[in-house]
Amino acid sequence: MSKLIDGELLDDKVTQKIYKTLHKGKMNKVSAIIVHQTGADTAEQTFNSYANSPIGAHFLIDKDGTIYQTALTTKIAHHVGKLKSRCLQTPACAKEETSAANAIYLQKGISYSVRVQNLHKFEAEKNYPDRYPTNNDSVGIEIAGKFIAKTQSYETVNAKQNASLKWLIAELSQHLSLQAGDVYRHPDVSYKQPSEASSAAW
Amino acid sequence: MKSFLLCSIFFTVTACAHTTTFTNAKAISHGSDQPNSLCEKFNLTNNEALEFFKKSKEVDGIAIHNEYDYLPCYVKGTISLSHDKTTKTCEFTIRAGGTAELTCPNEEAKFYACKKCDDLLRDKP
Repeated sequence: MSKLIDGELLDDKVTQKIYKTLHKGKMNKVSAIIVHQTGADTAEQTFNSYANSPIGAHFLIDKDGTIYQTALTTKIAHHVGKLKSRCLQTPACAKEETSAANAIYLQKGISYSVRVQNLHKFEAEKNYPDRYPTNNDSVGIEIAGKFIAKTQSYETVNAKQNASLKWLIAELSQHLSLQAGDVYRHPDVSYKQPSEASSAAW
Repeated sequence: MKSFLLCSIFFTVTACAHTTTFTNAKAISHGSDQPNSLCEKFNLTNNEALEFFKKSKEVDGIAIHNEYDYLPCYVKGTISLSHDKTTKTCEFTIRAGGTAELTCPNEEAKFYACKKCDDLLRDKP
């Protein structure tokens, strides 16, 4: 069993490679885990990006299954993007709430980017799990894998990566008291290419 | 000689990079990846498609994933791309979130993104 001390996941399976540039303030509570794919062929390309960009997740799983921790779980990292409306994706909401989200999403006369931004603001006012998890209350796991334009899909997550993902999600869920329903694929919660992390299994 | 001098003068800024020029955009079809009403009125004229590429920049797969919204609404078409004294016709897909994919003959697809295209990427009456 691993240990989670001050946001660091300590285990022989985890290589620490913390990028302080990714830390965006204290995370008070972790409500969920979001599984991503990087959009790059190698972990090295993503590390290069982390050195120069404020956007990234807490963990990265390389092609050979190596797990890197790139940000502390006690720190906010910008990995989610603009939130989709949970009410528009699942039928569980009250009619009025769904109508309000729809009115923002389908508002005429403004750009699609502004609509998406407005809906994000509307959703961010809610508490989890009435909304999807945000940067402020979720841990992100990146899996190295590029988008293949020819097939219009992300490359398949390999067996080693999935084995590491399964272990990592189990450990984090245990430490952070998360349930199975608190783990999401990135395109479920934000506006991302639908095949991202679709072959991830845990 | 003249161009050599100009090139020398601006060398530190541009490194004399051969610029890519977009012309002759043709928006051929539009639609949505998902059945919903969001994209019903999303479309671009030929000039708007051309303007999108003129205002956009080429980005890599990481930047597309991290910084931009992927929306189901798209316009597909063709555009001429001139680079290094050659011109080729490429196929494009522009999405309502400000991203685009450009596929040229015998080349890997390139990604483009535009953060200043809100005026173009809105529904049409």
